[in-house]
Amino acid sequence: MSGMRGMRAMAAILLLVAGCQGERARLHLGAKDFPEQLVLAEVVAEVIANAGIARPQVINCGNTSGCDGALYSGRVDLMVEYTGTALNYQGVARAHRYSMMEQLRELGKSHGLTWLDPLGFDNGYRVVVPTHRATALKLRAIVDLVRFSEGVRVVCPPSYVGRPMDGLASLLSRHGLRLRGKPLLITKAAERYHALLTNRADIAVGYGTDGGLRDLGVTVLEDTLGFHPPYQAALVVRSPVLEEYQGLRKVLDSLQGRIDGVTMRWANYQTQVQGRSPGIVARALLQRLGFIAKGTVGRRPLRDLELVYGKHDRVESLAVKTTRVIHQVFAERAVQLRKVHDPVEMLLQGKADLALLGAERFFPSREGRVRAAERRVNAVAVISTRALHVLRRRGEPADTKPLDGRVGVEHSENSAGRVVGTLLGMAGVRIATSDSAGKLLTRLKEKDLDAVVIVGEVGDALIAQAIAEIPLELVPLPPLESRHLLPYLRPQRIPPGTYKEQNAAVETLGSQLLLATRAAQKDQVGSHVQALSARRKRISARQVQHLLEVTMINGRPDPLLPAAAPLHATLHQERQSRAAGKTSDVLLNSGVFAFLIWLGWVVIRAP
Amino acid sequence: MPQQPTRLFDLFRLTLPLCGLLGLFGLLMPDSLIAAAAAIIRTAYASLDWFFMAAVSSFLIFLIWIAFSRYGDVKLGEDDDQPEFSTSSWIAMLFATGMGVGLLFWGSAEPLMHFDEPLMGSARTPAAASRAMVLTAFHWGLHAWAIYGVVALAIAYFGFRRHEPYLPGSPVRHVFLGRWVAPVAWGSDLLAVVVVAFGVAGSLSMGVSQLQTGLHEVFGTSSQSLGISVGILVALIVVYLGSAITPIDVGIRWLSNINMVLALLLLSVVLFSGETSFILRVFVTSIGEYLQALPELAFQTYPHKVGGEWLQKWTLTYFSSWIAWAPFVGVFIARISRGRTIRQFVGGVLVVPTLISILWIAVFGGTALHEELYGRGGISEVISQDVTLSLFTLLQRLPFSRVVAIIAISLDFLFLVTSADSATFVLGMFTSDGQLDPPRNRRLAWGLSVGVLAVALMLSQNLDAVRSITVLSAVPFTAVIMMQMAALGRTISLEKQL
Repeated sequence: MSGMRGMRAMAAILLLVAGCQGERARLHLGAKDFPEQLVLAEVVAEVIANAGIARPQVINCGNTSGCDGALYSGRVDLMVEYTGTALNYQGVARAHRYSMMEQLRELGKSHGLTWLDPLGFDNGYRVVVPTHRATALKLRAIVDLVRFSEGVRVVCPPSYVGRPMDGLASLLSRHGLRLRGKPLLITKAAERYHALLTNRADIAVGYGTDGGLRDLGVTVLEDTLGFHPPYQAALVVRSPVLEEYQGLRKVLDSLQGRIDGVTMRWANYQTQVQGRSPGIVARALLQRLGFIAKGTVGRRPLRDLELVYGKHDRVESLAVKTTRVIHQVFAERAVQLRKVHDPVEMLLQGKADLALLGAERFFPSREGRVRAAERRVNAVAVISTRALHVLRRRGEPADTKPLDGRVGVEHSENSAGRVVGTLLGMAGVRIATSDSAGKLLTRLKEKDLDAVVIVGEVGDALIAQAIAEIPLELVPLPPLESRHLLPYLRPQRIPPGTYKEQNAAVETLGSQLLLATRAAQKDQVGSHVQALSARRKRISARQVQHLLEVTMINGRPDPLLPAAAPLHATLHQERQSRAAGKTSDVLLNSGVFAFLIWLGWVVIRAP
Repeated sequence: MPQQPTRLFDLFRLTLPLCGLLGLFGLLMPDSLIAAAAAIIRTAYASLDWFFMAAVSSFLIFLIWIAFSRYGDVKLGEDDDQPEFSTSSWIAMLFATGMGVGLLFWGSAEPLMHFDEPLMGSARTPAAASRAMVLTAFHWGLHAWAIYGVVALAIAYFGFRRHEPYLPGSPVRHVFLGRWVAPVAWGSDLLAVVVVAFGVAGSLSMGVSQLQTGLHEVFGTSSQSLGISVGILVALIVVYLGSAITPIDVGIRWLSNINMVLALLLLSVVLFSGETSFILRVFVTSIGEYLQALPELAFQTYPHKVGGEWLQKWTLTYFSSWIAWAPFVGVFIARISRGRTIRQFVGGVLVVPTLISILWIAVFGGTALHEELYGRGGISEVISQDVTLSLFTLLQRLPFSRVVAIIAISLDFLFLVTSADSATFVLGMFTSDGQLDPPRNRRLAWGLSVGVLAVALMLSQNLDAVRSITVLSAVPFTAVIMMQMAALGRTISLEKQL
């Protein structure tokens, strides 16, 4: 009885829920298959939802013909389309710029479509060359490309080749250009520009709002012949839908003219180059435009990531760079920078997620002796490499050994300074004093010291300034036997011209500056269940992999350092970590076998 | 041949203080001991993962065999017994017993975790999504229920048909002779009591943090305050004690019904207000993909491929949890299955809960995967920060999100209550010589002890102690279940009537 009543109640609720669904069907918002469309779709959907209308469902309708077809057939109610594309789809000859919108509106009437006023940006095709090429060859407009007597190598989106009116063939013939080789067809904008910049093509055809156009060293060639029509982005909506939803028109009109080329390029940069998700970028865009209040990106704010570094380690300038690296992997997480006394300790105690550490911090030393690497902390990615700079006043006789006089090193609160002190001390170099880097340089200037050893990035601003102004010169680090005791110090070459009046390369030692995190506790069984109780988590293996990719240009972490476990351990590594001690293995397995045999015997024997 | 269990020691008077002692030990357990326990577990897993896999798969095969054999017609009870509960009630109670708090959370979190960090192939692709569903179904499906099913079948058969007391050691006592029988059987009972007590206390204290997260999401209460944690736990204890006082037909049955209604409501809301056809497609497809993958997954221990660590972290951990819960869930299933034939029993216990679990996973996991693949994403980012948020983050994306979240919190609360309630019942049974209806004061005593244990665990934040005990006892309990299986197989062949 109670069961029946429960059943009936449930049926009623289900009907209610289903009913609420059917009464007002959700709008279908079409989006083509590339990031710009997805971002715009999310923007429009969000704006509609904020106005109180049911959030439209974003439908990925594929390419232009797929989407336009869906729009005509009514599968999609509205979408952002480009004027030139739409006319092309209908096979209408490209008309003069001013009447494009009028033409579309006329055509739209017969199909039951309404075109709203443009959103404000033009996503037409652009022909792009690397900036240094443009400067070298004085290329200003597309017609200048005739200077390529053997023809141009082209990279463009696949759809560009087949377009009859404004595609590759027409472009070449109109401008009197020849094609060299086959055109490279690349869909992804970032890869297109990469191909251009690595000289696999002479020109790239891309879209006016491509994110890659920002700070990538490319120049847009002027379209002096007016070949490419403007592709203004605008919302096209099925007319019956506009009638059915009062208020929709007003909401959509509020976007008119609000999104300009700069904004769209910025948004494309976020998705194409930074790899962030369209939904998140859409929200950020709306914030920029003032549609939604700050601080509401995402429904719930994620906990900030804590990045710590040693107070005296002189890595502040790199902390900002590190933050950008982290942002590339952890979208939408704010990063809190904190200066602490001992970053490794912070990691181990779970008070920080990530730390910026020099390689030396992995090797704690006690009483001047270096111990084995600290395995509870893992190196994730390399941020930079730092070198030991041996500096003395310029003008000293070349044959004097720089480390024979009064030598100053950074004080031991700076972990790198400690390393230098250890290194030199073990080599028998007498260290006159230890002080902060700035003061050391001053004292060198005032002739209080003969040489100083400072650890810094190659091209470190403080060092560069000191070399230029005091002036100082950089000398090679003499070979020291003791360096073998500090295995993480690797030979480092400071290229000529790094510092003022440095004409030769300088050989010295250097070590990596790394992003580190707490190591996984191997002995945690069921560690994913542990997740229910852990407050501050380790970053996941996938995030480690991503960080590695993003910093690949800086090299991989020194193999000496305990590395964050790769996502896919090799079979060999796993076999090693999986092998139990031989005795316990034999005992357990023979125990189990004995049990099974005994059980079998007990079962089989007669009662 | 019913025989009085040779009582070496009165189980009740021994286990209650023993649990208290272990609890105290767990509270004060220094980290080095926990590390030692973890090392033992790791060694056991590293050496015996093949055994666990083979054992659990053999339970499944045994059940399927016995259902299809001529013994399938044997009744769990006298030959003329009619089923004690109607089929629909029986199925509803099976559903309620099995669908626990775990599925509520892991149903949405686990598929995403496999999707994000797959063992093979690239992450975050549709192929990874489909594989994620299969793996989740594998962990929560037939294998889990086979473990419960074997224990339940053994206890039900020996209890209803051979009139033995309802204890985990009964099958062994009944069938085998020898001086080893009594201590081994008694040891099984003892182990079962300890495991159930700690398992429930542990799940209560973990449940508190889940509830606290949920309340924080919906009502904005503090997610860290100890006062709220204690308050939630006290509320839980009061409610389940209140239910424990009433006989089984009243408290537990009533709560289970509410549970089921709420669970179905939650399921329907998420199903029908979200991507309905996508979810249903995922459901149907996952059944097929799961069955296809089952023969391989049921025996795969990765000797030639990378995956051993993954196996330990996921599959074996789940198997240990199911084995540790088996005495509890198994006894319960046995309790409600009087009068069913073995074939009906196996069908009901294996097929129905598995289908429902897969449906649940398809609805919640499928919705989450859809959000990640085709929607706004952001849920796996949240999971990497805090797993308990996964469910609530997902629910926030739906219409009526507040109401739905409140339903989810209530469901979580009630699941914890019913499992604590039934656990105290089972503990009462085990320590009263396996009576079907243990005396009320025993149940209360256990209820209070489990509550105190849960409070202690929560205050000490020392879940590792619980987990170590649970997993460590899973190793010998597997042996116990195998003995039960052997006893059952041996005895059933004596059913000459067929």
